Amino acid sequence: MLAVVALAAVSGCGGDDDGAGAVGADGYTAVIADFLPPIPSDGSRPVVFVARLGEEPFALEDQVAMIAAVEESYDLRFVDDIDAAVDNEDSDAPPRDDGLLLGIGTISTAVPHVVRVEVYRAAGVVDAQTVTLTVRGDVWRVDTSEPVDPEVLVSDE
Amino acid sequence: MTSDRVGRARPVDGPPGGDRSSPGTLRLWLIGPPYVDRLTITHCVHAAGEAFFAVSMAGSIFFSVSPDAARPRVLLFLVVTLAPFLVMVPLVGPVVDRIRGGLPSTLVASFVLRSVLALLLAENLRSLFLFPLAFAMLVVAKTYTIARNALLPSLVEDENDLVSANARLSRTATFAGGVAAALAIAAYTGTSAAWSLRIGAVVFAAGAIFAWRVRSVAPRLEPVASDAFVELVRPDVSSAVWDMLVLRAAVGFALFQFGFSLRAEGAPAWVLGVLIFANGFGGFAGTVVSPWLRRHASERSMFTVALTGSAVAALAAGVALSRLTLIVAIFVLGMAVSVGRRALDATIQRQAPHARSGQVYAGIETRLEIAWVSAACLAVALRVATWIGMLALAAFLAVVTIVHLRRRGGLLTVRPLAAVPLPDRLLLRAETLADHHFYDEAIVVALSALEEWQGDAADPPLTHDERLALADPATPVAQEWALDVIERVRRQLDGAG
Repeated sequence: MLAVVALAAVSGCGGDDDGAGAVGADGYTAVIADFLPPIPSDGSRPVVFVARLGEEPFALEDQVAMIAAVEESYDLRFVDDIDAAVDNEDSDAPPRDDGLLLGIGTISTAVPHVVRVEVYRAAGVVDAQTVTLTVRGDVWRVDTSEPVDPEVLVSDE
Repeated sequence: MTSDRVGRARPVDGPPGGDRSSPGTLRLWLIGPPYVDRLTITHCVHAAGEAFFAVSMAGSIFFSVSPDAARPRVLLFLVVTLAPFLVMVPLVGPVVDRIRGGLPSTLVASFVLRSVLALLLAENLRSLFLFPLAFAMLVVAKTYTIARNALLPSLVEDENDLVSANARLSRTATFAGGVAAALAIAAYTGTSAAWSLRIGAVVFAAGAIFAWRVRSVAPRLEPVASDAFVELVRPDVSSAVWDMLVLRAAVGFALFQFGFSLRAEGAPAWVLGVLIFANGFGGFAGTVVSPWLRRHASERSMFTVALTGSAVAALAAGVALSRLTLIVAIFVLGMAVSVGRRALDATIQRQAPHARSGQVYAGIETRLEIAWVSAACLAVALRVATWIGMLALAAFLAVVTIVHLRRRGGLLTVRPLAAVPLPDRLLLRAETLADHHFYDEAIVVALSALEEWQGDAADPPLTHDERLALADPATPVAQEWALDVIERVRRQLDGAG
């Protein structure tokens, strides 16, 4: 029984790791919101995959908070592996379910708050930006975006 | 031996025998004879509720968060899930067993709890409360399974009908679950996952009413006599329980391994749904195949078929992984578990009639559930691709199959040696028992070999202290001692020969 409790405690600690660093879900929600596609007129919810750019996954609590923030209009899905979001059976390798794939780095805790974002639409169709955020109180806002060369979501081909 | 089974005094509100003495063949095939029919209907309602619950999970947050982020949380709650089963047998089991209607009351409580949990889940499908609520559902579902399987033997009219009654329960519940799954999908696509769950809550609430009807016909169970526990260590029975543990563990591993690995590889929720359906349909196919197998093979052979078949299917799927081979492997695994279940019931029915009491049966069932949950924990803790998981499962099943065949061969080797003198055969049996860790029995059988050879003049090769130790049930018998006694008897036999 002791072993069970110990394992449960260890697992619990693992589950609460904050993979996103000091900046919580609000900051990342602001970034995601800036890259969301337009809402279709037919009322459907576009699928948006979110992957980390070479970092630990977002904490479960942060993922749930981000999903809840845009849930009304978007179907946000977090993936561990980019392949999980890409339809590799299609020659263009687009994101599954006619979706969009966002790769998001870690928002720096020091001012200016900067984060790298890559937007994947198909093999070879990737935009990358360095986004600068500002925070007033608890409210995060994207200030500027500067195009850069994509690095992580570019295909090997 | 004393029977611990109570003559089933029929309750006042039980169905009179006359009005149901000639039920239609289809009715009998589907829901069984009086008393059992109430449990069958209850189980069908449970399967229907399960279907609504399972379908609605497709709309849960689990399919939106990343598998690696969910993994620690799932592992945590799986481990927590183990706790109730660890205390259930020693503490709760005897109490539930002795209270009149204890087991059926557990069924009623499980339905009520699941109904409440389903309503709570409907409000929390997209929040972190999903995890504790879903695993509370799992604990209650496992508790229901234990209580149902422990209750069934006491409801079966003819003691030889346990196997067919259990098969009927699975078969009819599969029908009900299939129909309910179609309705649940319609409700899910037409409304939402939350409404599908709310309908499931209503189904579970209805199940509580049906379970209450079972309570009125369930007999009181007497305290368990020691016979039941003695029967459980018979090689055939303990082997059957062990083989079934393996099969249940394989299912627990497969469900969580592929649940996570397929999600990580981007498989949509419907693929998991098809796998769950394939597993259920395999279970149904098992109930159809099992009677034929039982007519042509022993229970041990049924386990051999189940273990070998599932190992081969897992290996084939691991080597040539595709959605089709995966579905086939899961189908075969479901069928193997169903065949194994029938074989276990048949073994207990034939070789351990006293072990059919609720408490003993609940003990076996609890061990099966612990095996399922433990294997599920392992699957979640391992972070491997689907094909590796399938090969790991195949390797596990292959090793267990080899052990099973070896154990089976060991027990069988004694049988075809009728021409060999009885003392030699008894000594061989003693060695076999020692091989299977029944050391005290091995010593007694070895001594009886000597007695058979020398009659009253036999001089058992035991010291006074050894005789006292053997007579004391609290003294464990070591392997070395058993092998030493067997060797001493062999020397005496060889010397006499």
